[in-house]
Amino acid sequence: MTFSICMLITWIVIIILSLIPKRLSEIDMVFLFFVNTIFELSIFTIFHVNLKWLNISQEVEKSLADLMFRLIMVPLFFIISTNILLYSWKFLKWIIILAMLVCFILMKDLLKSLGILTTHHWNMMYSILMFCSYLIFSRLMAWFITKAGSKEVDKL
Amino acid sequence: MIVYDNQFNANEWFIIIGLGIGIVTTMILPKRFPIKISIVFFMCGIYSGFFFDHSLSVQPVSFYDVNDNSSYQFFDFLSYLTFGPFSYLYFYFFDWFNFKNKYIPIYILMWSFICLGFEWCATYVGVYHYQHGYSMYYSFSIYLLVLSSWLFLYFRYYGKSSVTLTK
Repeated sequence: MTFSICMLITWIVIIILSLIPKRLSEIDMVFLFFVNTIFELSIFTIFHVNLKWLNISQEVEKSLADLMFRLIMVPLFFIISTNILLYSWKFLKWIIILAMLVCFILMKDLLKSLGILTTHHWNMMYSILMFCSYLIFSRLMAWFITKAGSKEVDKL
Repeated sequence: MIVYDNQFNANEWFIIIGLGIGIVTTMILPKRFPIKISIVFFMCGIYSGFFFDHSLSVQPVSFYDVNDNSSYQFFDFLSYLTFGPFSYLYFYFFDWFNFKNKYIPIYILMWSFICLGFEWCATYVGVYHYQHGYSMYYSFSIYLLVLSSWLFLYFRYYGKSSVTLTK
């Protein structure tokens, strides 16, 4: 049941990513997927293994659900956010980002209520900080990869 | 937390030297791919390292620990970076030799043995500490799968047409 719920949410994120108008090319998004996963895994592992502020359930189904969330859903979620940040809209994109922040916090609560995640010394502020750091990192990486590509086009 | 070692010794030097040689080799080789593709090919290895290490060496069953103890350290991060030159060189030589399709499985097998050789060295100097019955031989099948999936990236983003990718 837990795994299926997480699978459904991940699939919804995949659908959203496939439906939204993209501002990044496919290769840029592959790069973003790689770096977002690396960044997310590193930050989460520090909180989980080193600080022990977050604990993952030992049950196989729940830990697999958590892995799917962290290895697929979260990186894709921040590819969506980066695409949205690149839109030319002035206010609407920030409203969408705010809605994504609410979704991110709700997902953390869902993981807790499903028994996948237990938290110590954790509050909503940390979730907001986590979201902002992922968002900024993903946006910076998008800037880096588009710049890297455009430099070469200029040379040609 | 399991502690294997507390000193700056063979495993740290192995990572530093390996990473140094890998990056220098990557830099001095003549340019073969557009820069964006090169970055993605380089990141591909780092991503795969993170992906498998963070799925196989975490709960519910941690099959191995990396470096001096079971926590996440800076040298663990550096050890994942060493996978970057590996993936880049894998794509580089694949493109260079321009293998016929029938030789692709041999190329993958050859690189799987190379990776296995490096993993043996890394285990010998104390980079990896296996647990719960895990051994290098399980890694071999993972290498075959990962190296095969990398070629999907190659054919999808470079083999087809390099012009559209630099847009």
